[in-house]
Amino acid sequence: MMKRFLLFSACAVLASAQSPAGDAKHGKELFLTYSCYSCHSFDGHGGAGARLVPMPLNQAGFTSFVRNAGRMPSYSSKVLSDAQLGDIYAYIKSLPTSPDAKNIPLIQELLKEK
Amino acid sequence: MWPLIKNEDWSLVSWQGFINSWPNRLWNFDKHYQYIGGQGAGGMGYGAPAAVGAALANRKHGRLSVSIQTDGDLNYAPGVLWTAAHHRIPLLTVMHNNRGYHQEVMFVEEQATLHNRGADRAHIGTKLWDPNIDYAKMAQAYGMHGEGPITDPNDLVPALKRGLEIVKKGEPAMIDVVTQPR
Repeated sequence: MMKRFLLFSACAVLASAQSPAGDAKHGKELFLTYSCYSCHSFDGHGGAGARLVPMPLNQAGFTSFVRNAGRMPSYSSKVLSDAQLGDIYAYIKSLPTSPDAKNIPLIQELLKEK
Repeated sequence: MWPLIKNEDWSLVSWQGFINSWPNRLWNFDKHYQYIGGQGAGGMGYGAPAAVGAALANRKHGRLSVSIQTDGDLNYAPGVLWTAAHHRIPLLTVMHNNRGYHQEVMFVEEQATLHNRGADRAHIGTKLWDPNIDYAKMAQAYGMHGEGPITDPNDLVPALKRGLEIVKKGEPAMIDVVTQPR
């Protein structure tokens, strides 16, 4: 199991180094067309789906996850090519992160009450 | 909304299933009437009439009824807004206006990706835009106070306060708030 994980990680790192930079503008179009926003929100900050920003995976890891997702539908290469996923990845990477909850007074107030 | 109602005798008269249970995460529920629950099967169209019915039941107790109303749900039976206006049922309806049936999108995407086709067409039949529905005008047309669509968070609290003022006087009010999908 550990060997497989290491192999996967090594492949991901190598693939990441070789992956061409995606087109964030086209990625935005795909993000909307393929309804990614429907669960991950327009800003990628999550909702019913996972938080995408900041993106913890490299491009190869992202592609691998989308191909073999668990709870969300898996998108095969017949549906979205590697290049298209690269564009979506570039768009997600371009999205700004949300402010730290510690800096939002209303959230702090609610947490204190809880 | 919580800071505005927490010191009132409030009651949430809408289901939280389509809004990720945010009130349950952030509000303190310690009385049985503070939440009416849901329809039992995730069906659409139950929310608005149920909210008005529960608000009617709450009226004689002097409770402040608030509903976080999903937009797709309201379009099944919007006539209930007239019922609320006609019978002077105090109810603050906050439209969770995500402009679509986003719960459904995931199921469509699931089938489309399973069959490797049509994953780019999940919007068909699930989106409520082009044109956007003007819920403030809808509320006004049925005879109640309506405001929105609110897209700037800075406009939200003043609008909620205006709505609550009207509800406390015994009338229904609706604040249309544009939200993230889910």
